[in-house]
Amino acid sequence: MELKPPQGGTTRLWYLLLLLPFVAMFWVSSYNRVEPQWGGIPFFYWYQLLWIPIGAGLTLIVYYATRQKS
Amino acid sequence: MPINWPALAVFVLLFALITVLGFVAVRWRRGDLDLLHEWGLAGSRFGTLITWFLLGGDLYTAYTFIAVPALMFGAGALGFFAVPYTIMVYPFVFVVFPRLWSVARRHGYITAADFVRGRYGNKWLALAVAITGIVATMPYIALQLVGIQVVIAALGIGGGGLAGDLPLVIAFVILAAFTYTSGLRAPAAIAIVKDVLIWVTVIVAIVAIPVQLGG
Repeated sequence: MELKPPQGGTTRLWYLLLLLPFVAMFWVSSYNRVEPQWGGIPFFYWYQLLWIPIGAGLTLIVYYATRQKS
Repeated sequence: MPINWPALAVFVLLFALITVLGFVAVRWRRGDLDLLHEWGLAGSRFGTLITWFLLGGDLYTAYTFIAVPALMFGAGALGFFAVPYTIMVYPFVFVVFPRLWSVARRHGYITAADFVRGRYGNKWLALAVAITGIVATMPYIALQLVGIQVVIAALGIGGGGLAGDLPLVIAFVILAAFTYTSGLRAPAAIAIVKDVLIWVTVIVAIVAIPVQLGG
């Protein structure tokens, strides 16, 4: 099974979605706070934990969008 | 510290289980284990689900379970770096690794050093990569052994000197033996058990600790 890079320029744009986790996680000042709390847990913690399923979801979207139709 | 008999019994039972699994794993999707490709990569016979277990069992291990929580306990929120780090690594790997995989498969590369030699044509660079890889993995393995030692001590089998180290040596020798004979199939089989245990532990921790200590 040979994996080729996706054909066509537009398919590769999907990969830009995967930049979102990097931007979100590196931009620490955006989440470096305690409020709004959720169940007593500071924003800092639950926001980062939330990005785990978001990141997985984005990867899932990109996977399906860039799969070769064989 | 007195011996914790129920915990010790569970430990011995589980260890016996995985020892059997480790040696029996050689028959799983059987191949000629004298071939490096069979030993090191299980002949590429593992599918998505098994690879998921294998990676989970190896990534979410002593580092995730012991080292990071210990860091958080000591250094506070700094230890939370592990979460954004993991969030960023997976998409990155998703983009890069399929290409690496197809190139490696086409050329029969098994290790990173093979790939470097094929890509750059320089055997000294490949040697440097191989040595760096081995040396860099040593702290990780050392961490695993420290983890086992902590567990053994917590069971109450203590004592200093050679006798104190004996359980760890026995455990390590057994692990080394079935990895030697079964190759990648052994960790894969055990990773499934390990992942189940980790899931149970996490769920129990989330449920039982707040119940015991209140929130």
